[in-house]
Amino acid sequence: MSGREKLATGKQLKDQGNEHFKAGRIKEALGMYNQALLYLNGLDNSSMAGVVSSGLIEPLTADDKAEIDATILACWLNMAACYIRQERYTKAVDFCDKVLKKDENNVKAHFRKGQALLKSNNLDPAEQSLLKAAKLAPTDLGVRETLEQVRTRIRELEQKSRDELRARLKM
Amino acid sequence: MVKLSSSDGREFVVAKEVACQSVLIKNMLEDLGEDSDAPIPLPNVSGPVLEKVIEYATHHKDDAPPPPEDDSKNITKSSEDIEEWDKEFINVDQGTLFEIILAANYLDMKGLLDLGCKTVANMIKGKTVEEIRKTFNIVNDFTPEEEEQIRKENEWCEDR
Repeated sequence: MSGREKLATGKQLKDQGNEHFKAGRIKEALGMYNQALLYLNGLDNSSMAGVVSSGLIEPLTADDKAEIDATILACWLNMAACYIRQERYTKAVDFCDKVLKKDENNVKAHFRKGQALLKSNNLDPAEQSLLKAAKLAPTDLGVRETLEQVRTRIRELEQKSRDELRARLKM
Repeated sequence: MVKLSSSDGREFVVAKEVACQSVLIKNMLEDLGEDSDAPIPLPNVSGPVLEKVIEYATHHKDDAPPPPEDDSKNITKSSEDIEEWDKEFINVDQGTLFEIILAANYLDMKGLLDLGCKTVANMIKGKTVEEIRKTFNIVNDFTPEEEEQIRKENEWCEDR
């Protein structure tokens, strides 16, 4: 199988993953994304050119390289969405971080990281991530609504601890 | 047990903890759960290389997992620091060594990748430019003027 064929297979598997995700079959979707990565990972070995002899590294056009990168990032992002649906929030955050390491201005990665952190009750870091997403995409309604949710939760908690303190002082 | 299938269609059956030395495979098994016994395709590793990788993973299956990346940054790594068994394992021809390094990178196996890179570092260490070219079959494509220029720029890091 040539590099091109592996890229095409990886993209197909990713698309099948998207179909499963849309239909709510989360585990099946994850299976497809993981399979896609088995084809896509290791296709672009240009980062290893300093260590191994160049004869082993299949030369890629800039377009192919960009397409491999984009497809891998899409898999990671969609896997994060799956993990959120499965309530595996730590993994969701890990996969958003993988994306952000390659593309620090990825709005979806900041957004999904914020969602996962909110759902696992890490409110301050959630606010941070959502603020970054909001800065990058000021008109995104979903981001703004989630940021509002986080801030409401933070205010509620502050109010609650103030009330508790007051009650204790009255005793 | 987990079935792995190499790029040339060979199938390998290994224990789960051996397969999970690869972060790529570990993640997949975590997501699929126990109920999948379809072989895992590894289209970017050939059979002979996968065989070597499995030998390494089997020997190291009980090792503690590597520390998260951010913690390991502060540890200075020395290329001298290689276990006896690992040294014997990685004593292979250059082509195989490079393929093992690429496979370790693909499968996300930090220990094996480190071992491969340390071995390449040791092949370079203490050698003159000409010796390095000979070791790795590198054709000198510099003009004498370019070579002189680079030698001057790098004088500061020469060991003497």
